[in-house]
Amino acid sequence: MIKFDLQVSLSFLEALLPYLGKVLRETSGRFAGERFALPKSGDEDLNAAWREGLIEDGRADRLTFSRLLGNPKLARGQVEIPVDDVDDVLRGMTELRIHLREHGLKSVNDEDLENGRIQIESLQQNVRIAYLGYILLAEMQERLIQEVS
Amino acid sequence: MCLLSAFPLLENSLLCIPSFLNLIISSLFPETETLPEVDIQEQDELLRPWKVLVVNDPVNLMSYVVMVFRKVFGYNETQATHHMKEVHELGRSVLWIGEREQAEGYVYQLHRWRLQASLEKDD
Repeated sequence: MIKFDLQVSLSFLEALLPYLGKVLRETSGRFAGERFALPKSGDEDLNAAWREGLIEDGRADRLTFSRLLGNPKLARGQVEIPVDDVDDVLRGMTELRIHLREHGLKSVNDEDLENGRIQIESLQQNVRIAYLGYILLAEMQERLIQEVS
Repeated sequence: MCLLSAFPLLENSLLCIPSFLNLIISSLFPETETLPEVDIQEQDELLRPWKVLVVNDPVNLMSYVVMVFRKVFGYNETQATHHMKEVHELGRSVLWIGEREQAEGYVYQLHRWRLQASLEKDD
């Protein structure tokens, strides 16, 4: 079991975890990688199998990640993940980050997002919560990668 | 490629014309199935080297990209970091070159990790 504590305030988590759970449910049945270049555009069967495979794999990742989000310990800042679930959770977080980037953070440009040069106060409420969720997921990913490295 | 390329003197002869060669084979071995030209082309295509490319994206963390390269290609920390920096600084990196089937497998795995990967012929 991988265990670590997040260095974020509990009120922050209290506001963000339900939001992330909601966004995760919105991504159900989709795959953020739909924009990826498929290997053989002329072969429709291969493309369909490729896409279906990714959607199916993405579903498994989301399910595992939703278990983490639903764990009451997470609301107290404690992350606990079975070792076998780590890859799924990491991918699930990425899925969610891509979704946030493409929807909630559509109005923010790539460079500002990458460099963290964003004035939170200047963002609209819905963009602000998407940005904070995006950062929280990055923090969790970074910590998890450190723990398993 | 001509089947007789191992025999330099015959390489440029009529025997190297695929249809002529097929004719000889089918007359010598009537039950031998000769592959249609299109299949030969496809085989040729599959055997040509292909590149597995990853392009930069603004979402994934550097540590995440390094970890994925290590998991998918078995690279060590230094190699994986080198490719991650190439992606970050130059916009793209060639991660692997080889047969198409294996390259497709790698691209699928990279897509599964939500990295922007693609296949390209290695010319």
